[in-house]
Amino acid sequence: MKNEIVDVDYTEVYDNDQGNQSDIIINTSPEAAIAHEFASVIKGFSNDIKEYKIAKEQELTKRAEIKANMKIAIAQIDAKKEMVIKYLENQHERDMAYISTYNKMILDSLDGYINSINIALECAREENDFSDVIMLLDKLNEFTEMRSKYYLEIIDKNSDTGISGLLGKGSSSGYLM
Amino acid sequence: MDYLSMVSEVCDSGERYISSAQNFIQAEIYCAKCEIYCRYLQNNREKAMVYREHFKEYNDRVFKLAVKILDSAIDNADSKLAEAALKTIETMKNTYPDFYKSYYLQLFGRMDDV
Repeated sequence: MKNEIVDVDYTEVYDNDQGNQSDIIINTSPEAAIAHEFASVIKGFSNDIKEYKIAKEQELTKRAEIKANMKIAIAQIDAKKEMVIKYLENQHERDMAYISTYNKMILDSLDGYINSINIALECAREENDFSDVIMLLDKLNEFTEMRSKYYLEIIDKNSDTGISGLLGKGSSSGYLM
Repeated sequence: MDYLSMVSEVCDSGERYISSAQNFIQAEIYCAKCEIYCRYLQNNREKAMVYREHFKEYNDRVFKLAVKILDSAIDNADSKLAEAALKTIETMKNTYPDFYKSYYLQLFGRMDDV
């Protein structure tokens, strides 16, 4: 009798996935199958509700965080706005004080010129010589020109408050955010 | 509405919430900027009024003086004095264009890039 040797290639397989073995359920009757299906539907539904609640909680937390951040941002904006307005007010008061002083100085000087010219005019009427009056008028003209020049410089200087930088030249929100 | 679309809706509404919060902050910034800019314009207007009042007062005084001298020149028949008085008025008038240019710039000047 001839011995037949069957040569077989084999490899060893180590099944490490012992824990993930799913239960094999064999329903013995249609009623049991229905009950099992119903139970799995209920279980799935319950899981979905749990997941939905988790998502909802996460969303609520995120929203509360956003709301809190928004409040902080708005408070910062308000504080910075008040600061800028205060800065503008202080600068404006300073400018106005400077302008008022300068105006008073100019008008005092003008009054001085006018008084001198009036006195010179009275004297000139008696002597019938108005050369001093003419000279003083020339001086007044020079003063008027000088005043005009410096006054324009003051207007130009006080026009620049640096506000464009604070209000966002180059960015949408500027200093405020 | 199935489960996935329900969750998706919740997440989308979250995104929309963030977007609306950002828009709200931008609107707040815009309002703050408007308020500051209004104050800036108001200050400019006050300054311009002071400049104009002063300019008017100065010129009134000079003009009154010039007219008085002109009267004296006519009374005394002094042509040089009359010329000097007219020159004073002319000098005063010459300062008008530059002043009003600066005055209107101060009053109606607006900032760029804001």
